[in-house]
Formats: sequence, C-alpha cells, structure tokens
Amino acid sequence: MQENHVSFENFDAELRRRLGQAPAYADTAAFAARVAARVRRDSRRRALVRRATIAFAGAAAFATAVSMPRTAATGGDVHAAVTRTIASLADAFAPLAQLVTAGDAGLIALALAALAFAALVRAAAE
Amino acid sequence: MDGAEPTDVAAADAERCWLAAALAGEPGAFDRLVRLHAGHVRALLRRMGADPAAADDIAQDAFVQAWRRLAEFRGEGGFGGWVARIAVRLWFRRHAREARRVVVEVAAAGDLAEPGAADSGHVHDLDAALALLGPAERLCVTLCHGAGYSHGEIAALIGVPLGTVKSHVRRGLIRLRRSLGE
Repeated sequence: MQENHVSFENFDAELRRRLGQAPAYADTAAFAARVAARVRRDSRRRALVRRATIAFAGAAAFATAVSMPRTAATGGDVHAAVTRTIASLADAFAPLAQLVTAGDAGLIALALAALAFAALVRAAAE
Repeated sequence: MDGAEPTDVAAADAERCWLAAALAGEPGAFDRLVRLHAGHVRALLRRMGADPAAADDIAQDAFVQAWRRLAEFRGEGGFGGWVARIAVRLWFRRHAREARRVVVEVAAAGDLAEPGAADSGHVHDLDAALALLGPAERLCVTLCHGAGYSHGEIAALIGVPLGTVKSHVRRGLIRLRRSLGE
C-alpha cells in the first residue's frame, strides 16, 4: 500500500511516475504466451501470402508476356509489361497480407491461378 | 530526467539488444520484450476504462502490431511507450464513439465545484483513486499523465475541443489530490 501512495510535494511528476510504473500481473507469462502464439500464427499467414504473391506474380507475368501481340512486342515492351504486372500484383497483395487468413490466401491463390491459366490458354489459341 | 540510474541504463541496453535480436528473427527475443512491457500496456488500458478482458485483448493486438512493424520502430520514447501508443490507437478505434459521448456529455453537465464520489473520502491507492473519477476525467488524466499525450493530441484522438480535454484533466487532478488525502 505504501508503494502506491502518491506524494503531494510534486503531484504531477509523482503521478506521471506512478502511472508509468508497470504493475506485476500474476498472469504475465500466460499473456506473453498468448501473444507469442498469435505472432506465430501471423508469421505463418504472412509467409503463405508472400509465397502466393510470388507464385502468382510469376504466373501473371508469364501470361502477360505470352499474350502480348508478337508482331508489336519488342524485348523492352515485354519487360515493361511484365514489370508493371508484378508491381501491381505486389501492391494489391500488400494490404491483403493484413487481412486474409491462411485459408483465404489459399483460395485467392487458386482463383488467381485459374485466371492466369485461362489467360495463357487464350493467348495460345490466338 | 537529468540522469538515468545505472539500472535504467542497463535495462535500456538490454532492451536494445532484445529489439535487435527480435528484428533478426531470434526466437524468444520478442517474448522478453512482451514480458517486460505487458504490465504497463495492460494497466494503461485498464486505467483508461477498459475492463480487464477487453484491455488484455487490445494489449495483445498492440503487441502483434508492434511485432509486424518492428522495423519501423525508431527508438523514440522506448519500446513500451511505442506499444502503449499503438494500444491507445486501437482502443480508440473500437471505442471512439463511446469515448466522445462520455467526454462531451460530462463536459456539458459537469461542474468543477460539484462534489463527487472521489471527494467523499481519502484513499491511499492510486488505482483506487483513479477508479473514483468520472470516466472522462480518468481517460484524460491517464492519457495525459500515464501515456504522455499532450492535451492537443488527446483532443484530436477523441475528437473534442481542446478546452474540454483541459477541463477534464484539471478536474481529474483536483479530484485525485482530494481523494488521495491532500
């Protein structure tokens, strides 16, 4: 109780000091364990989304390159188009990494794979 | 803060080491930072008026966000202060409307001279004295004196006029002094 007593000689400073002190909660270890578990889950999810982003940026870049009109495209055109595609996909995925669960990321990956494959088939058919 | 105690310097050095280790991906380093600062962040949220379960939820969210953004931490104000500010922002994201209502309604109805529960007797425990304040006073005093926010920052966070915040802080301090036995 004495520990909690606030002196009045310099009330504001003493109040700041006391409010800045951390109480020793008995369940700190359990709290830290819960945070650690959430950090691990979050790490796994973000790694999955990152891998999915890389895989589908690659697939989309490939599809972009293949689907460009062959007569008009120079090496520079292809390079620029692929770079744009990868950049826009990376931008699109950055906020997703904060939001999606691992399951969602898998579904998004499947959907994008289907789109990339369809683009590839269309390009091959032309 | 003219000079830090040797133990404070040692603690600050240890914290810097753990931060560097956490950034390098060393298992357990971030956990040590959490253990070191959990009490401060949890207590701050409880003193702001969150119930213990909600305070712990928000504190956990704050630590997870801090971990994600660890590379952005520049060292100003210490790691604990940085996480506390993340926690305060998260609390306001969930309770902004409620906080604004409480602060504005109490400001409209409040009267500094009006005796409150906090004036009715002397207590010796700071948290007990804080609990006797009105919610608006407790929130503003805790943010100002516990988390280091300026009056202007608090006004911007809650979305109320600066004068309202100043009045709550002043009234809260007066009542704290009374209830703590001046």
